[in-house]
Amino acid sequence: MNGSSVAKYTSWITSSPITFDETTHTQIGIMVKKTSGGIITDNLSQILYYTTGSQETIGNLATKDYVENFNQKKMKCIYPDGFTSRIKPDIYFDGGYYADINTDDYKISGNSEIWVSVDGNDSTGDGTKINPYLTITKALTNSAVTIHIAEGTYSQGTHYNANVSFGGRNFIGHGTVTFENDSSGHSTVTTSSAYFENIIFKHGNTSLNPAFSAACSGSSQ
Amino acid sequence: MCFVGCTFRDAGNNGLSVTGMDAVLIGCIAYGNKLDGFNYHNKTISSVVYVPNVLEINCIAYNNGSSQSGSDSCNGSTAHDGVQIIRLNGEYYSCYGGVIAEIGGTNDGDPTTKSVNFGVLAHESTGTGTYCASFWASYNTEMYL
Repeated sequence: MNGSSVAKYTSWITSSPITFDETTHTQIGIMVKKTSGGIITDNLSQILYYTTGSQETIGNLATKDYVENFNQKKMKCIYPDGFTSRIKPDIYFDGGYYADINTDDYKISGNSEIWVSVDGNDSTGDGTKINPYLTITKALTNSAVTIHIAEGTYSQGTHYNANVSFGGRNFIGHGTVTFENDSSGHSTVTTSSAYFENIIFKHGNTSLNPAFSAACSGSSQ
Repeated sequence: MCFVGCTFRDAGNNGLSVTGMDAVLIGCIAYGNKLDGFNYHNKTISSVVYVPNVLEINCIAYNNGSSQSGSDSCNGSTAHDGVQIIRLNGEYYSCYGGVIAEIGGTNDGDPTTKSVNFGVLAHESTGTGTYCASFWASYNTEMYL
């Protein structure tokens, strides 16, 4: 079942799992279209691979047969017709699904960077790694694009203000980094694009808001 | 916007709520939230509708929602309102509702919510409603598994 989309412990998935026949070099994965809850109403197969060479399309087009790079057994998956997402990476199958993603592509561009640490100091610190700031609030007054955050727990109200937008920056956590929102209902938020890496966003259970809320302001998506 | 290796936990609402923004999540986890783990909606500003496009890779959502949440529509990951989402691998389980649930608009002309799921494992809805399936598609939705 490796790599297949399955619904474990439910009865309505009836499609076959991914299979690969080493003798015939046939690899088949079936993707079904589901348009209403609980029942497959349209067996529109999306992925079916068979090959004797590279970059070959065979079989019934209705099932979107496709093959690529046979020698590496690397199959390119096909998106359904009408799927127009702006974020649509090439996805391959060679026994499991994968995509070649470079996370740097999603970072806010710019080389400037500063550091924040729970052991830092907003008054005497200069934002360098050896002399970091204490708070995210102070870091956000700096124009640096990338904010490195040393291990520790950062509390809303102490290290960052409620409902301040984190947009337009890269936040890179080092070690275990936790942003702990207060219990009054505030979230960590952004109203424009940003990049976050290795950060835990945590809330008290009494809060009525998300741990992180991202909402466009109307100028960008 | 992009989250890599991030965790969203213990919220009294959703773990991550995205409205009107494109989002890429890689290796992220959502658990212990009262409602959904990952939640995506559109947003209308000055009559302009911003519909997110989303990519989830190797994400995990579990233990979101409970019988105390007041609804059995708490999902591990859920797209609404015409959102187009790709999920690649990942595991979603033990949520109090459809574990992965896509829900389109109920009015004529509403955009179709679309999800494409490659290698996604969803299992063990803990809810009791009729839509507490591992994968749930409702209203104006196309879900590819």
